[in-house]
Amino acid sequence: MAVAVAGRVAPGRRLGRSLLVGLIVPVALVLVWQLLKSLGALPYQNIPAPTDIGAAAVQLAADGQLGGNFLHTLLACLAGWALGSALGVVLGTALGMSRWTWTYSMASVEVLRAIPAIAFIPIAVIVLAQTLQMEIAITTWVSIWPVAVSTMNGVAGVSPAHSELARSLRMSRMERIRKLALPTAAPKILVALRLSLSGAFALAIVAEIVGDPAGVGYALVNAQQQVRPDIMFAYIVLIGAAGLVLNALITLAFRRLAPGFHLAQTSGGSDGR
Amino acid sequence: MAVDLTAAVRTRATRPARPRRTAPLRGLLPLVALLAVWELVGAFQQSTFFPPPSQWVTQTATLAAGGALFASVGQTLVTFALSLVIATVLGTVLGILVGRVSVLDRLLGPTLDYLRFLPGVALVPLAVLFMGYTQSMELGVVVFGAVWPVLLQVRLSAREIDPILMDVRRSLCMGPVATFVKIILPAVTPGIMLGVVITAPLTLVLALVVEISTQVSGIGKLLEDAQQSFLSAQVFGLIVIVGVLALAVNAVLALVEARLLRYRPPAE
Repeated sequence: MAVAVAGRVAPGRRLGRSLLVGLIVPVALVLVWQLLKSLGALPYQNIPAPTDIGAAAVQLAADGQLGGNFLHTLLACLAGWALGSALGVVLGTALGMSRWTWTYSMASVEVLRAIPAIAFIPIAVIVLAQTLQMEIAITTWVSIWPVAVSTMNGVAGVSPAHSELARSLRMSRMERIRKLALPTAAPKILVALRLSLSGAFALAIVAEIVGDPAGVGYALVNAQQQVRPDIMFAYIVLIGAAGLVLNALITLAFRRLAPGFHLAQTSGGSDGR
Repeated sequence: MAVDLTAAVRTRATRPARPRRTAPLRGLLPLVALLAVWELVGAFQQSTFFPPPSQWVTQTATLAAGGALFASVGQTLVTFALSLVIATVLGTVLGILVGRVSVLDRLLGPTLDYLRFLPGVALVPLAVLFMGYTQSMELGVVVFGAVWPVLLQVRLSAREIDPILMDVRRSLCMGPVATFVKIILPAVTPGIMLGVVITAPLTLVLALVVEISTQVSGIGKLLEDAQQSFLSAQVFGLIVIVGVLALAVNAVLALVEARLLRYRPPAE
């Protein structure tokens, strides 16, 4: 077994090798699963063989359902995420820059953000009906709060020396926000953006399971009603992959935007690597 | 100028730590004003979508009168508490295993990373297919989503156990049970606590998600019922109740965090 030796291996090769080691377990699991299924030793009739799942995925991809459904869900997720994050940055900047605004509205923000966004899906369905707009309203709402709170904390972290400098340079409020507050808050905002993206993705799927009959959430419900576990497994595996890819893309984008800044280090220990 | 600022970003230690933590109650004014205006407008103009707060109260009161409300809140809280306990135990065991046994960590790392980015919600329809509309299905899905913060925090603190402590174990010829109780468990306890603090609000959310999407029981089922009968006032009333539950969970956690994690920086 090729267990990677820690130490003097080039970082690129090391990553490749650790990924290879990590693939042993899933591959072995799938093989055992397939073997048990072929031997008819699985307790549940309903569990499909890995080959069936693969066939279902290929079938769905071929007739365009897969791409269409993922496009719909990703659109709802990304549109709401972008809108909500923008609102969150504005709100967080207002809360972080002005003591008065903070005193007279922070408690309201705390109350609103404590309410799980999922609880708003029923009212969104009543008001906006079963539409893409309803999904976007929900993904927007869930994205606002982490970004707002992180922006606020980040903006409040501008050092006194820099504030003093801004004052002696007679910077306008806009200038102070643009040149001082937002750059200082950037690392925290980036962490929150990653958090709110995975929140928006999950909420888009819930909104589709409960409300909007479209996208991967509805595809799952539909497959459940038709008792097609192969399709369900195919979607679940791909949803996991989509979540992973979204996270990798945003990490990559930030590394491009802010070189030298490591997201993993500031993510509150959510990743041990 | 720009270089100067990025330098400021990096020197985090020089920054004053968390200047303000608890928001004053005066901050509730905008929310109260909004509700007041809402009530006033609602008195003059009937709206099916946005009924005034007084109607939220009356419509929710009918639920409370039948006893359904308290039963549902109880069900949700039971699901929440059970899932939290199971997720904590499971996360601790798995976290210690992958944190202490580096072969396991390398073998399972990518699989765990994959599973952790899989939104637990996506498992609801599958879980329903295999386990039916049951409480064990609810618990299974909630635990799947809630286990990660505990697992990751415990893995982190299990990795960082001082090697000297492990040498002590060898010199004292401690058995596996003694090692676990006297060295490993105390070392990972802060990790467990931090994980619970992070995962508890998430657990409540997941419990609601499962209840709303399967309508088995709990306050999520009430919400979904109200939506399907277009009782928007009742939906708003239930949202308020969910908010109160969430705030209560947060308040308990803040207390726990303040007491138990005094020597660690608070979770971001």
